[in-house]
Amino acid sequence: MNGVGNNDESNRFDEAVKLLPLRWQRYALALRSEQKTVTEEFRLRCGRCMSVLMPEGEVPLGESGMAVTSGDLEQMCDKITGYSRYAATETLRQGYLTAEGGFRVGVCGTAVMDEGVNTNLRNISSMTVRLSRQRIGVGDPVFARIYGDGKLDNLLILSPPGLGKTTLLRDLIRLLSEGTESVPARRVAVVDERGEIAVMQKGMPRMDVGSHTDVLDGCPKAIAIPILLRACNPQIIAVDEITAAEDLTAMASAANCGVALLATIHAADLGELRAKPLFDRLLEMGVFTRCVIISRRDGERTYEVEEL
Amino acid sequence: MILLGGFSVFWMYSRGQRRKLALIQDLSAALEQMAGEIRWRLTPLPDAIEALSERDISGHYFLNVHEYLQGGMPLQKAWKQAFQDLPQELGTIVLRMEWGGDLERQESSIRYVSAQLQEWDVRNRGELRQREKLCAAVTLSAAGLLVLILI
Repeated sequence: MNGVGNNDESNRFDEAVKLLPLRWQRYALALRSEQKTVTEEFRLRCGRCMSVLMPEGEVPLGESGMAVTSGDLEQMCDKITGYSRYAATETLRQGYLTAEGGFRVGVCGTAVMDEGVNTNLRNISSMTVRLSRQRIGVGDPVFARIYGDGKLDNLLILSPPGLGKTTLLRDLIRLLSEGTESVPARRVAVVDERGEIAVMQKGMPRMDVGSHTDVLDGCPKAIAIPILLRACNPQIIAVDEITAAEDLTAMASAANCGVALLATIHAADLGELRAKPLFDRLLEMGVFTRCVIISRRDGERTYEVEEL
Repeated sequence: MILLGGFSVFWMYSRGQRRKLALIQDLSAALEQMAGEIRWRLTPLPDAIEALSERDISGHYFLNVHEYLQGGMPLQKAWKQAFQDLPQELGTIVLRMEWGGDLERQESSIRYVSAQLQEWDVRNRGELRQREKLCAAVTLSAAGLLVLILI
């Protein structure tokens, strides 16, 4: 697997550290460079020491007796939302924030329920900063295998959480958008509902998603897909994390218009996918014809391409 | 000469007051713009503040707030630091701003400060006009008296 240079890794790590409460930042920065490269998450739980998630598990940071306070978490939430929680209500009630730099920050606390709907979170009890990184070239081994009879198959990317579905999706988007010597460049439209794929900042993508890519940022998939079909004349539509029935309907409509599809789903394998009624329906619809299953073996990620 | 000197002093005072009133008007308008941004577009506060930094008269205050925020300073502190050199009465009004809470609370706070500034503007503009009229009357009277004395 090719990766970005160590300098970019270090920059991404440092960017993520800036999201942490001030008094905890120095402990994160004190990690060795090889540890920084493999850090997957920062975890802050009220009353506990901050920890980092690495491939071997959670490692506590900080001095003995130090504990994250509710003030730390509130300060962190304020910083991430730019003191504008009203602007992040929609994602906050779903339990996450998207921080500057495209980092997903999971938030746990007390749900504020209104007529059976979670409208907000209060008394934040823990926050998790997921370090997303661009890995240019991670899609290379997969790219050649997602074409059937010279035509791009509608592709699902499956894996459990945290194994790099979005990272692979992003690199495939880039490859499809740029093309190769043997494959022409395509017009790709991306529904970046959570802002993690292209990481748009004031209209510019911070991640490389290719030269022929249009990004609709922050919009639910079921609404975004018809917009993109009308506005961008895409050849390919890419989405992250299909979770709702309306997403499937929108994707089927796009496929009926002759647009190729790329999507990710949380599922360890096809068996697990079929066990979920929503996704079983997805397979029955026959929209997707090929899948990539990401798994971890002996500490390394593997990519298996299968027909559906 | 004495009359001219006195008139010049008042003219400079008047000009300073008018600049202050222009600043108040621009600040009030800027805050209204910010309230609209957060109400209708749910614009995060740092972005709304950055957009206001381009204003002609009050822009540099918002630019300072934006720069302090970029440096990691909490918003309440950045606001206080950026507006601390305002004349005392104005500073008291502007520093009444409360940051945080839900959309309604935040918008109300911004509009409240904007309304206070507008009230100050109306009150002081009226007073300034009265003073200018009085000064003009005194100057003309003094000039007339001087002419009579010379005659």
